[in-house]
Amino acid sequence: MGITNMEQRTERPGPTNGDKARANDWEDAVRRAVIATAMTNVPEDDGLGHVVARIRRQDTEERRVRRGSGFEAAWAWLAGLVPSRPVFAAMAVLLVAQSVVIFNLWGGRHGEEDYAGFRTAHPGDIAHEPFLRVSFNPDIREFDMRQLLREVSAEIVAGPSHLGEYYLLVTGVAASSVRDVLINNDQVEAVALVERLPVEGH
Amino acid sequence: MSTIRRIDDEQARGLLLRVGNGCQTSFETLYRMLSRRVFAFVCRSIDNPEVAREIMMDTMYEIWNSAGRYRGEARVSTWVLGIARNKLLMSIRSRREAAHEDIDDLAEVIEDERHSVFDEVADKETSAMLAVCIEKLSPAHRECLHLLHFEDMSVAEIAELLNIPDGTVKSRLAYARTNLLRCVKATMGSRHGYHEHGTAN
Repeated sequence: MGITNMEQRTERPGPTNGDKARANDWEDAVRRAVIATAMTNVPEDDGLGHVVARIRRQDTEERRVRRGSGFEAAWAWLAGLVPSRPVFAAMAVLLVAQSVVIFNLWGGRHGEEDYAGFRTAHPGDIAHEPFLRVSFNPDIREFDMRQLLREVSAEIVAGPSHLGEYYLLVTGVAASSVRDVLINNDQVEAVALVERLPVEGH
Repeated sequence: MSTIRRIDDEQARGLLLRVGNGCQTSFETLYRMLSRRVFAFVCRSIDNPEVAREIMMDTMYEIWNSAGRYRGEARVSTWVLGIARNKLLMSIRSRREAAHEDIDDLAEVIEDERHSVFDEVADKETSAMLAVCIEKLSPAHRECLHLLHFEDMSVAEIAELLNIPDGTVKSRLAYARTNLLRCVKATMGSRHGYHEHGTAN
């Protein structure tokens, strides 16, 4: 009794060199434990491929957006012409419209050019069928030729070519059997199975 | 045992500058330099390595996008771990990660206890106990210890990264040390058949 708290603290002995050493040892043990328990057991490039792929996707997206912005800027420039130079704007619109029409015409023709010229059926429907290429006797009458074709259920889909050949599409029976019938007919000079119709001008 | 090389801050700054200019090769070098540190830092706060890996990748992706905004006021590692911490906090908020078992309730600073504990156990055994006890610290305390010892940051750098006052960092470190001490002592007591007061079982 009679000893104040202040006096108690004053009487408490200060840290000795041994205390400091033990404190340092403890702190060092903590430091080593912290380092030892750090989760670093992953490869240093773990996830790198994923992140790089993400960066590339972002880059591609940004380029796409920039292209879109360029188009929008061009459109804005064009729109800006309307109030100031309506004639130029009208010419530009006309030019674009003409380009679209020309492109469409070219595209449509490009897709059919191999079969154009002497077509009687739409090539899109029959291009995959086997055809018969037939040379009739030069003296055959039109009536006799059509009669013969009706008998074998054949239809002229192309011809005559420059060499006088007709291309027939056979329906309902095998083209090879029709060929056998025609080849034995006096009005027919030659018959052959072909895979395709001739290109234009042949 | 961790075998991560120390970061050469000058080299890291040079790489970051080139990354800011869109150099992907520099980014890949920087990635190899930093990614495991980010992963280790994130793993101090969450138990799920897969989520930690996602946060690590998100952080590195953010570095690619934000490299141009690095002003050089802090060390590169401090800047990067700051980004990682923001990602981590967002992830914790959205996923409500289960926290580690917390031993903060044991907090009571008794400085002299460390001496007796350290005298009583062998070095190796203490390390094993510490490893277990570190996992039981609160994420905030574990985070401070990690930055201090693993990242070798100063109190001021930790305070800057965590956006808290220096005094709070010191306080967290003190509580962390005390909690570790109490945890080790309790573990030691149970293993050696002693009660906390040192009486035989």
